[in-house]
Amino acid sequence: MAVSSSRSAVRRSPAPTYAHYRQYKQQRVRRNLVVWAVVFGAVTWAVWSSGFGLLTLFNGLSESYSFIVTDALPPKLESVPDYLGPTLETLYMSVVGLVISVVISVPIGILGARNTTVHRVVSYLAKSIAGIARAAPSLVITVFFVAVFGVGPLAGTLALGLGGVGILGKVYADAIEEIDAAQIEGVRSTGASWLQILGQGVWPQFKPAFMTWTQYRFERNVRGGAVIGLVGGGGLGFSLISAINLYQFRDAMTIILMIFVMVMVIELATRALRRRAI
Amino acid sequence: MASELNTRALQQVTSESTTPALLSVRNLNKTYPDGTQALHDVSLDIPSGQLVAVIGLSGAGKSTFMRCVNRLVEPTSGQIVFDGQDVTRARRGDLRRIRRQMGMIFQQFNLVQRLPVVTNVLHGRLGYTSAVRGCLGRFPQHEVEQALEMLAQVGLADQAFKRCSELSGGQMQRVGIARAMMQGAALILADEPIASLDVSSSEKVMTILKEVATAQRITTIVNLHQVDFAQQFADRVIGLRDGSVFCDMPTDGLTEDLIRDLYYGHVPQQDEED
Ligand SMILES: Nc1ncnc2c1ncn2[C@@H]1O[C@H](COP(=O)(O)OP(=O)(O)OP(=O)(O)O)[C@@H](O)[C@H]1O
Ligand SMILES: [Mg+2]
Repeated sequence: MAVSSSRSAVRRSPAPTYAHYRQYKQQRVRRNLVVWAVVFGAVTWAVWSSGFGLLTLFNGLSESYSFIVTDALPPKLESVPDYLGPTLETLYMSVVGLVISVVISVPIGILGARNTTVHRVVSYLAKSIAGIARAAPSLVITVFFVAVFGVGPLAGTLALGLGGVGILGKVYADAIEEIDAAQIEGVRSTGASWLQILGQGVWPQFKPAFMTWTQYRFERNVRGGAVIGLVGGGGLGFSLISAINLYQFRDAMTIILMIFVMVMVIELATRALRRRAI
Repeated sequence: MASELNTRALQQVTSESTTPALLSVRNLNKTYPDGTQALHDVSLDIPSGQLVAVIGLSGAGKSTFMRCVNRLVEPTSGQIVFDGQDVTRARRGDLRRIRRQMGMIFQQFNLVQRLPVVTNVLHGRLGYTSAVRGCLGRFPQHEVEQALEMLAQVGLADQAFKRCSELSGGQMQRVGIARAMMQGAALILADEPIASLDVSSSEKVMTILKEVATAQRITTIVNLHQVDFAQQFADRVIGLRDGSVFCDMPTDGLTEDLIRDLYYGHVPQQDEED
């Protein structure tokens, strides 16, 4: 039987039995138990120590009601033109911040994704950069840039741009990792180079995810741009905090409404644009 | 088992040994990282213009063999010489130049679904295009005209501007053939090109492959599950079993006994589920 044994070329490990199956299942259950225990513990602890209670919530509600009705209403509509400039500023910050994020995130996504990277180490580095950018809260990033460049839209724009790299770098890499390897192999088999495979095999598959996530990030920028203004990042948020500091609550209410309208308009506009693009 | 060794030695007679082989494979081995030994000491010579069918059970190593030839899979050891070039030693740039001379056709077609049909055919020119132009998909007029001509040859002239995802399986496979032809390849590797097609599409695809092989003298290696298709279209049949060459002969030498041996004469192993 010398011939037949040399033929058993394919290596086999021992066949799994029902006992293995049980063992596997129990492991899964144990792992899940640990996760649920941690989640439950964390929630209990947080509710306990934040003093979250329905009574305080209710008291707070009635307090803020009287504040809104007596101090902040009606909004001062005649000052709307004063805040058109800051509105545009928020939009500029969002657009420029988005461009910064995309320009940095596309290479990070390509080099970070396992299937398109040039080397495992590069992939690890690219993912780490996105991870660090994601780990820093956007308000902290803004405060940092305000400290470096001073109060104003530049600090806000850079903060939005850098914050976007954390999100977009990661989701781009994830989306590229999910594309169909067979289609890439087809292009590779023609003798295509790395750049050609990217353009002709990866991009057509990546494009829908790219559009969706980039649009999502733009909407986030518009909303987030208003918030980071509060800590000195320029735009409507900065006008808002200034009004509050001067006890001009009716102006503040006007600004809040304008933020609301701006966000809605932007979301409707990008949605319409996307329907056309896809 | 001595008798089997003898027949195998006899069966390994290839065509005229005077013709220089276009593809020459020596002692090819492939072991996957998980320890699966998919190819075991495979040696073959394939001269120009032959249509060779590779048959064998599922898991015999047919796909692995084919992917080693253009190094979509890295061989573990052995040598592959294609048209005088050492494929196994080729480095990136050389490997791309070798690959563009080998058109590959896949069971699942492996076309870029979201791109138009004609662009997928034009991909056959990527190996001849500069990196940036290729990346952006900018092809010169004469290549576009050539691609449309190829599509007409495989009977898809009217589908050129559809998205690939809108085609039927048989149509996609013909796009795959057009892409391979577009490469101006000297060798076509077809990995079960008809396994997911119905009979009439299968015949269409095999007929086109046969025409390409004979009319343009393009050497063609086809992995097939259907022995009858192998017998109908191939000049030569190679049987793989458990990663080794089990038989290798002109098609008319393939007997019922051999086929039975190849597929069912398997020494049963504990887990042969296929
Ligand atoms: N990437 C891989 N990693 C590990 N083992 C693999 C891999 N690809 C294939 N194999 C194994 O190598 C052996 C040969 O596989 P291969 O795909 O070459 O067979 P095949 O003859 O093409 O089969 P089929 O007719 O089903 O396509 C099989 O045992 C398979 O499980
Ligand atoms: Mg296969």
